[in-house]
Amino acid sequence: MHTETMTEEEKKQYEADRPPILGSWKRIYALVLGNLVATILIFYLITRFYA
Amino acid sequence: MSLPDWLVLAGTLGFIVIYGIWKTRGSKDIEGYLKGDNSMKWWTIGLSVMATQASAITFLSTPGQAYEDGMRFIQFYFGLPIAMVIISVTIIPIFYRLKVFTAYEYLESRFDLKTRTLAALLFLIQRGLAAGITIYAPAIILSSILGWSLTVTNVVIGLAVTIYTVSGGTKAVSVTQKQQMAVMMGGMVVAGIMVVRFLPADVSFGDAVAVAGKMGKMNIVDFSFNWDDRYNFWSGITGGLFLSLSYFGTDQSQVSRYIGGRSLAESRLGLLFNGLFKIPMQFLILFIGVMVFVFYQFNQAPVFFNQETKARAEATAYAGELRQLEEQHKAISVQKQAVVRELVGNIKAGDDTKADATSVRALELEQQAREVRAEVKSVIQKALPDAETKDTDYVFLSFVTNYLPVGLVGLLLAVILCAAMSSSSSELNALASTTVVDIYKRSFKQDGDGAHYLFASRVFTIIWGSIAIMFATYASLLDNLIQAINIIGSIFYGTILGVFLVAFYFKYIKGNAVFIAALLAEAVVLYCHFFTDIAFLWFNVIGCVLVIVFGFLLQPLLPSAEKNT
Repeated sequence: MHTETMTEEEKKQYEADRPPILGSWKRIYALVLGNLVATILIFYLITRFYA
Repeated sequence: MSLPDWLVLAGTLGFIVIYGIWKTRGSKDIEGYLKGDNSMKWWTIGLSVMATQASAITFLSTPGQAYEDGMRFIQFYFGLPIAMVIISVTIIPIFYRLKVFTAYEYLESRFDLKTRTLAALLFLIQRGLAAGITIYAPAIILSSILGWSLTVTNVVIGLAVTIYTVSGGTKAVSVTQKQQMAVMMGGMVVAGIMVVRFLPADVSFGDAVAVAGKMGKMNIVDFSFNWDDRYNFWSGITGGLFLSLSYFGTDQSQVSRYIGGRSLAESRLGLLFNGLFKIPMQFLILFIGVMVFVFYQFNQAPVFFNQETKARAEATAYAGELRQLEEQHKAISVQKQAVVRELVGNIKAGDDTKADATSVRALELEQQAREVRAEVKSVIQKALPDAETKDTDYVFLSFVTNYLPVGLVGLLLAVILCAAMSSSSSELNALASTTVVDIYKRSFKQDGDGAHYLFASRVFTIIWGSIAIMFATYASLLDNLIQAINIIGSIFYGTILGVFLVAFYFKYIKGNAVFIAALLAEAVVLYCHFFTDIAFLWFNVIGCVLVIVFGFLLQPLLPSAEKNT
């Protein structure tokens, strides 16, 4: 995203909509989905271990 | 219940209600009342979203479900994090751009008024019914513990929720939900610690989990595919995804939680917070149910967990038969306790062959105990034809009231009541906002001022609170409470989601086609529910897919003059 071509209003909006951590929304979505995969994997291993 | 328990219970609930009213006093306009002046931070939204979904039923039914069926119910939530990401990417930006009060407003800008009204009505029907059940669930507990009539208990709970929801609107709901979540999670962690501490001294936590595994309760993930199986990986990841998309993306009780965010980023983060923490939270609740099961492998479990119904049945001519079955159950339990102790010894010794052989004997005895319990239920049904014999919802409650020390009983009852209040308040708030914004203001009175609609919102909150209390009073248990909620949701959610997915992604389909498609899809889902054995989670998929397919088929056949967004 090139912020230099934005108007002041758009810049404000862009800043307000930026994620506070990890730098981009894509990375936050990857964290949530990666966490799901890891959780299912751990659950699967627990199921196998105690079966 | 002892005085300290009463003090803990009344103090916790009283503080939350009074704090909610005080903190959000003076809502002066409809924007503040229905959207909280767009002032909520992401953690408030995240906790509010989780608290809205976590009703009393979650804390009553889920441990009981784990006691009977093990951990596999967790798979129901596997689709949820994916849904949170999809909603954050596609749906929230649209709601923000259009500055909507309700999700259904968007449908008019995309299709037409009749489609908006149909979706709003489907929501009002299913959420109106669910609101009754969320009040009814804790009411049956308190009424059985206090000896109050169910009607009085329903009215007391319903009134407490209605008062602060009417007073502070959506902000009061969100503010109180933060405290309610703290009480809920704190109480459940304490309950989990206590149940492990109550295990015999020579049984460690690891031994307890191993016993649960050998008894078939650590069945967290099952990748085998079966259409009729309610909870496996495939139904969880697909049906759960559709249900979560529909619930969080199109159900106003959830939409109103996150459209009140300070910014798009705050709303997104709030939902993603739910995507990260919902599964661990449900895991904890289910695991406590499994630990209660293990506890009862070393202690005498009740032959029937609903003590009040059992006592009523014992006052009939079937008392002798029940006594005989109870003795039989006790004898099996004594044998089982000895076998399970042997199992623990084999596990500690690391002898897998012996442990497997012992667990087979323990499972045989467990099966015998189940058969006796089934006979007891059948005798109770004969003695009291109107009585509900499914007692899973009482498993956790029975443990709490019989084994937890003074003070903690009050805390755990506060957990259940907090959960009831958190979900009911969101529901009442959403029912009122949908009624006012999508029906009353749109179709009946378009020229009112802000004060008029604020007053109307308060009046409709009271009306929906009264309807919920009435429905709660006459509700009878279906399968079990949490399933009842999910079944009602699944019957309507698929269709609503289908309408929204068409709106978001299939611009070719216009209002007339999607309206008729929604009616046809809902008819098919109702047919599936009443006349087939298809597991209810699939209704979400069926309803949704049919709206899209029927929409595509009908579009070329129907005239349309709709606008696009």
